This record gives sequence, structure tokens and C-alpha cells, in this order.
Amino acid sequence: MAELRIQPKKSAPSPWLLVALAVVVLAAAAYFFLRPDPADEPAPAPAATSAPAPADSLAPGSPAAAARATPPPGDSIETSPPLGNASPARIRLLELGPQLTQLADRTDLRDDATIREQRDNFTSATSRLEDNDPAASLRPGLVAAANLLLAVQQKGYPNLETEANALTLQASELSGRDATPTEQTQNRTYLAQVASLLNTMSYPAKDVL
Amino acid sequence: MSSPILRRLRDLPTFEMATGDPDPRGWAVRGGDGQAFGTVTELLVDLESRRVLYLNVELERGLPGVPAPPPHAETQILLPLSAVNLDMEGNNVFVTALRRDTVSSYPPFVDFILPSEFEGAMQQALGS
Repeated sequence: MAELRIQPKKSAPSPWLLVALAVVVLAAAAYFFLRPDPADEPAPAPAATSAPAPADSLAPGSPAAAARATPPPGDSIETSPPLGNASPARIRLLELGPQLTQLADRTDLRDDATIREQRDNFTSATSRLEDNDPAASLRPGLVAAANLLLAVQQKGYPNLETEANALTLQASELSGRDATPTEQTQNRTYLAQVASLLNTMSYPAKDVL
Repeated sequence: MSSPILRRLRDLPTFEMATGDPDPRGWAVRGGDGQAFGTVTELLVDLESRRVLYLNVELERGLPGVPAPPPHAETQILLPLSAVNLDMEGNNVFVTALRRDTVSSYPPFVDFILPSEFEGAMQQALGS
């Protein structure tokens, strides 16, 4: 004779639920540890291979006139991140950050997909520096700054092609450290050129010779 | 002794088959000749004793002597669990007292109503 019994359901979580949770945790960990460094992404193609912006497209009254609203670099920094005992190059790079992003957000530049992408790369690369992460390398931020300026040059400053390409080349030769006097000199020289190019690009293209 | 209050297992979402006991829902119901004539669709349980008392069986269509059910309905019977044997390896329910050609004499189960004489009618049809 058959006999079948019933019982209240157990409240223990399903093992499949635990497996799913473990998979989610592993996926999140893999994402954070294996995601590509933004500075390793390919830089925008040199200006020679892309269509330069025609000079007369930046006539008075064009969106480039909004560049007047962008203050040149070197002005006081409104919001300085906490820097602690950071290296001089790190401090200078973070000082240039707001000006670089402000340039990328200019009305005549912000709609360009390449500039947007390079702006995001720069923001991402410097965010670890802002967090005072001791393991964070300077190199991604330094390279991303050059890539961003190169993208801006290709969009609106055809006359600055030589300077932008030289800056990109110079960035690729940096070690990303700021420990030895040689490295500090290289970084200081490079960041001075970034500031100089940034200053030039704060003016409308028609004013840049 | 009062009659147990029967509930469908599907209406008891906080209950399940006891650990180690099979769930025969979906199993084929075979007669004494081994021929299938229906499928277990539901279990009727006594919540107080926490035991399955009846198998709700849906009969195949076209069985000899069984009137065709109305549209969108199936002919159903109840089998007391005490009258069947469970084949857990082959997922079959065997009821030796019935066959395809004799199931028409078994009282059909209609509208989930279990009148007092229904139990006697089932036992009589099973020959016990």
C-alpha cells in the first residue's frame, strides 16, 4: 500500500540562488580587475588622416565664439582636490583637469564624439589620482590629456596639428613616475606644454595662427 | 470519526511533498493489464494528518464506455492512495482493480464534491 506525506516547505534558500549570487560577485570582481585602462585605448588618428575643419567655419558668430567664455588656464582653481603629499606632477595634472574638461565641454566642441570619448578617458584616468590611490600611475592621466588635446585640435584647431602631435609623442615617452629628478623634469616640461597648448586652445580658432 | 477535510496540494503553497516521497503528479495510471488509462493531475491531502489520501486522475479520451466529457473539460476520477501501487522507477501508478475497459463503471469525480456515499461507491468499484 502506497503512502505519501506532505511537509511544510523549508525556508532555506535555493542552492541555485547561491550559485547565481556567486556568479554575480565573480562578474563584478572580474569587471573591476580586468577592465582596460582608459589610457591604453587608441588615440585619435593623426590630423593628416582626418578631414580638418575648414578655417572659414569658425567665423565670428559661429559656435567657436563661445570660446571667449572659456577662461585661459593659469587662473585660480576653484575646486582643488585634496592632494596630501602628492608629487608635483600629480598636483599639476589635477590642477589642469578642470580646465581640460571645461575646454572639452565648450559648446563648439562638446558634440564631437571623439572629444567626448577622450574627455571620459581623461576623467576616468585622473579619478584614481584624485582618490590619492598610491598605486595609481600618472601615465594614464598624462597620456589621456594629450589625447584629449589632440582630439580638440582635430576638431577645431588645424593650425595646431604639429604641437598636438608632438605632445602625443612626448606623452608616450613618459614613464608615469615622478620619483627621480629626470622624471620630474620630463613631467614638468610635458605639463608646461600641456598648459601652453590648453591656453592657446582657450581662444577661438580664428585667433590662433 | 469525522471525515478529513480534503485540500488540493496546489492550493497549499506552503506545503510540498515530504523529503523522500515522490510527487506522482504527471505519472501515468495503469490498470491490472498494464495499459494506461489516465494521468495523475492533482493530489488531495488531509492537512491534519499531512498525508495524501486520493489521487485525482484525468482519464484518457475515448475509453470504452466512458461518456465523452463536455467541451473544454476532462473526465476525472479519484483513486484512494490505499488502492494503488507506485512504480517509482517507471513513474507509473498501478491500480490492479481497474482496466481500460472497466473504468467506465468507476464513479466519476465531478466539481470537487465528495458526498458521503462517494467513498463507499469507490470502494465498491474497486472490489474491496
